Amino acid sequence: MNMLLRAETMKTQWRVVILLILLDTLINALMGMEQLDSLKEFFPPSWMSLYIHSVNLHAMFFYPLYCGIIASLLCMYEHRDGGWKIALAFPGPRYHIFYAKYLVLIGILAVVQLVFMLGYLAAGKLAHAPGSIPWGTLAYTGFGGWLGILPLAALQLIVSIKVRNFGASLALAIGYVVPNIVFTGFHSTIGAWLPFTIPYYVMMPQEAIYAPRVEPYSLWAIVFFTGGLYLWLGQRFFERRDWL
Amino acid sequence: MTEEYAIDTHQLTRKFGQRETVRRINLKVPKREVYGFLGPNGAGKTTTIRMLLGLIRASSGNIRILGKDLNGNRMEILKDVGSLVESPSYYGHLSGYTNLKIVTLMHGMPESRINEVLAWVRLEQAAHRPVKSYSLGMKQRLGIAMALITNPKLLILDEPTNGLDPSGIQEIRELIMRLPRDFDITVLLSSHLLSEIEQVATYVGIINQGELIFQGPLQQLTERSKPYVWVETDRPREAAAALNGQGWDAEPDEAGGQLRTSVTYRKESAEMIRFLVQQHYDVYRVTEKKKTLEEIFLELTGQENSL
Ligand SMILES: Nc1ncnc2c1ncn2[C@@H]1O[C@H](COP(=O)(O)OP(=O)(O)OP(=O)(O)O)[C@@H](O)[C@H]1O
Ligand SMILES: [Mg+2]
Repeated sequence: MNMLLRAETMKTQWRVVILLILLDTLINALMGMEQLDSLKEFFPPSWMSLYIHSVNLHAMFFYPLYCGIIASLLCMYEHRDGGWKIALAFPGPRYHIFYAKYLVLIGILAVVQLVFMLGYLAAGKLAHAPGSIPWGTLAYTGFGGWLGILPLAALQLIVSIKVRNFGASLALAIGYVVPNIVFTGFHSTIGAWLPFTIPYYVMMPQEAIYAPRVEPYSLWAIVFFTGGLYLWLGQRFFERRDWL
Repeated sequence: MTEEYAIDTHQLTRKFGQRETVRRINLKVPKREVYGFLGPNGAGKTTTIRMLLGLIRASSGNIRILGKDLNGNRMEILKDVGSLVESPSYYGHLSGYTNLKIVTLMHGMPESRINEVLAWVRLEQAAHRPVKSYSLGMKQRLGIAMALITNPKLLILDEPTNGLDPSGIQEIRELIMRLPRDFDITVLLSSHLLSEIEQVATYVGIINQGELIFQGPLQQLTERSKPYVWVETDRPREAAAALNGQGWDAEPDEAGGQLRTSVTYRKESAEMIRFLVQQHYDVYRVTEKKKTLEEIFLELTGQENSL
C-alpha cells in the first residue's frame, strides 16, 4: 500500500493541483477582505464575519468542485494511454489501487482546506480584522469540512473512473455544484443526502444570518453512512469491473 | 509437481452480449518456448490476453498460469508476468525513467534494474524526457521495457512490433528470441501477421473467429507447405482430367490457364509432361511453387479470397 501511494504521488500532476489550491485561497481571501469592507454596514467587521465572507464561496462552490476536478485529474492519465493496465498489473489486492487513489485525493483535499485557512488568517492580518480569532470555529469547520467531503470524494472517484473523458467528468462536477445554492437551502436532514452540500452545512458558522439549518447528529450520521456506502460501492465496482 | 505449460486454458470462453468472441479455447503454451498467437483482426487475440491477465473475466472455462489457477492466485501470478496489451501503456506526462520506476515500486523491486532494462531497448538517451515526446516506436520499446523490468517468468506481448520500423522490428525480435535461452522466460506473442511470428516463434496457435483452429510446433505448420508443380497449358480442364485418368493428381485452374499437381518427383514429372505433349496439349511453362506459410495461414483462416 505504501508503495502504491508513492507511485500515485509520482503520477500526480502537482503543478495543476498547486495552481488550483492557490486560486481557491486567493479568490476567497480577497473576497473576504473586500466584503469585510464593503458590507461593514450590515456585518460589523470581525474575524468571524471575515470568516463567514471567505468561507461562503469556498464551502458552497470551490471545495466540492475541486473534489470533482482533482478526482478527474487523478484518473485522467490512467484513461489516456492505457495507464489502468499498468496500475492493474499491481500484484496485490486490486481494491488497494482504488484506496491509494482515494487517499491521495482526500490528502490533497486536506491540503486545500489547510491552505484556505492560512489564506484566511493572512487576510485577517492584512485587513486588521478586529476582535479575536475564532480558533474553535476554524478547527471544527476546517476538519469537519474535510470529513464532510469524504463521501463526495468516494463518489467522484467512481465517476472519474467510469467516465473516460476529462471534460465530461468536469462538466458533471460543475453541473451539480451550481444548484448547490438551492440544495443548501433545505434542512440538512434532507439536503445532506446530496453529498456535495455537506461542506457548506458543516463549514458555514451558525453565527451567520444566512446559515443553513443544520441538525448536527443526523448530519454526521448521514456523512458516515453515505461515506461508508460509497467507499464500499467503489471498491466493489473497481474489483469487478471489466477493464477494456 | 512441475507443469509443462506456462499457460494452460480449458474451454475458455468470453461473451460480449450474445456473441462468443472467444469460444472454448484450450491454449497450451509450453514453458520456455516462444508461442506465436496468430489470428486476423478481430479474431479474439486481445480478448484472450485480457482474460489471461485478469483484466476481464472469462464467461466460462478456466485458466492456469505457471501452474496456478488464475482464480484465487491472481496476485502471485501477476508477480511473475510481464505484459504489453494492445497499444503500449504509459504515463505521457512522466519520463520513461519515472514510468519504469512506478512499475518497480508497485512490484517492490529495486530501482537499480531500470538502467539495465533501458539499455536493452536502447532508450538510455531519451530516459528523462516525457514519454509523450517519444516516437511511436520508442513508446513501444518502453512498453516492452515495462513488461520486462519485473523479471517475469512469463511475458505476454500483444502485437509488440506494431508501429516499429524494420530495424526496430529486428531488434525486438532478437530480444525476444534471447529471452527463453538467457532468462528462462516463456513468451506469448500475438500478431495478425504470420511473417512477424515465423522467425521468432517455436510454437504456434492460430485463432479465427474466436476458435483455436491450429496449435502445435511451428514445424508442423511448415510441413504443410508442400510444393506443387504448376503446368501452363491451353486446355487445363481437359488436361487435368486426362491426367486424373492416368492416376495422377491434378487440379485445373481454368482462370490461370494452368493446372496444379502434387507430383514433384523429377522422373514422374518428365513422364507426365511427355504424356501431355503426346496427347497434343500445348505446354507453355512448368514451374514448381511452394505454398508459403502466409498462404497456409490464410487458407486456415478462410481469408485467402478476402485479401
Ligand atoms: N468491449 C467489447 N464489446 C463488444 N465486443 C467486443 C468488445 N471487445 C472486443 N469485442 C469484439 O471481439 C472481437 C475480438 O476482438 P479482439 O480485440 O480480441 O480481436 P484481436 O484478435 O485482438 O484483433 P486485432 O488484430 O485487430 O487486435 C471483435 O469482433 C470485437 O469487435
Ligand atoms: Mg488485438
